[in-house]
Amino acid sequence: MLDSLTLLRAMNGIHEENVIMAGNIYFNEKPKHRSKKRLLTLALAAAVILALGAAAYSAGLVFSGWGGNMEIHSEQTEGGIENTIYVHTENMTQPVSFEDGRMIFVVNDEHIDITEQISETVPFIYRYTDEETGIIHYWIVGKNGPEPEHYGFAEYLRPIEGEWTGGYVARTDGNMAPWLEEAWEELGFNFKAES
Amino acid sequence: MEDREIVDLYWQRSELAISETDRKYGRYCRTIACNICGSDEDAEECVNDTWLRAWNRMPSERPAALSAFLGCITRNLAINTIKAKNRLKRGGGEAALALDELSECITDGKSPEQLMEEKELEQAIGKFTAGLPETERMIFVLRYFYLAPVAEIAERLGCGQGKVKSSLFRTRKKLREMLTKEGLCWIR
Repeated sequence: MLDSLTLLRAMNGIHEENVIMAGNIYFNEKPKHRSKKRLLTLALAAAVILALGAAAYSAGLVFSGWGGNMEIHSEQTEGGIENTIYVHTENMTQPVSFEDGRMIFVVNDEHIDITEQISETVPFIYRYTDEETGIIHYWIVGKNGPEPEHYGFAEYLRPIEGEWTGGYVARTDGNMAPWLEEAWEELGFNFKAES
Repeated sequence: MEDREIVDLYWQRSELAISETDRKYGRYCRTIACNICGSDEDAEECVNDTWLRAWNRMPSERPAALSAFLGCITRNLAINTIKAKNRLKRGGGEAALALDELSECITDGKSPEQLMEEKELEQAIGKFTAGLPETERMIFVLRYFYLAPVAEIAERLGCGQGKVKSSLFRTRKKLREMLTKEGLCWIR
């Protein structure tokens, strides 16, 4: 009868080189610092949270920070105060990379081939939870043209328990892309109605 | 002292072998035993028994990797200890949590005694882990060979606990699929 205990004991079958390698990590190496990419993500989350709090009572440019990569503008409209977040993505780490012509999603140390998974109307959606901050990150990638290089992406943030905190869209022309609209529908987003 | 020299001491039946092993691998084996047993006292007993087992197995055996050799002996002794004391569901260290997690990999089927020897299962586990991507493999080995707590794994690898948990979840799913595909899953 195979039970968890038998399975646990069978881990003795793990090859010696892997046992040694993991043992070195566990017993000999110094703990590693969190990756830069992750820190950037956390900084972004914090910036969005702080900025939105201030934006609710201000107008015009209410926040400019995160190394000059982010601006938040607030505007009084007929429907109330509308906040717009601009993220300058030229120098940001991109969520995808290209390997041998394949489009690879690399957020959160992932390595997912999304080449066949996205189009101009079909988004790739990825979600992960940062246990330390308690924030859920929703990443969305889609194509703005036939070429893979013409991709766009978005990231939205929400606490595990709570309302949407914010997010941004990058590499789009400012209009609502069909792939993003599809993602909003799939995820049940309704930011326009909420603003 | 190099591993080869320590093994030579065992082969020469020198009692220095034990003290040198304890000096080099005492913390290593105690940590493994303590992660499994959840008790310093039991862990100490397991480690002392590990030296005795090693003494009895050498000569005749000449382990290529002394750490892995001793680690496996300690694991077996610690697992036997918690099994004997029936602590699994009463806060018996990381083993209780790890066993709960691994239970996801087991599906209905026939008795393992009828279908295969434990050795075959070990070989399948070895092949399975060798085929995992490196980070995923390290997380899996740290968790299920060393029974390292998730928080410690995250700290060692410089990532969040969420990433460790999601990686383990994915790997367990793959393991379950492999065990099922290979006909190695049996009823609990």
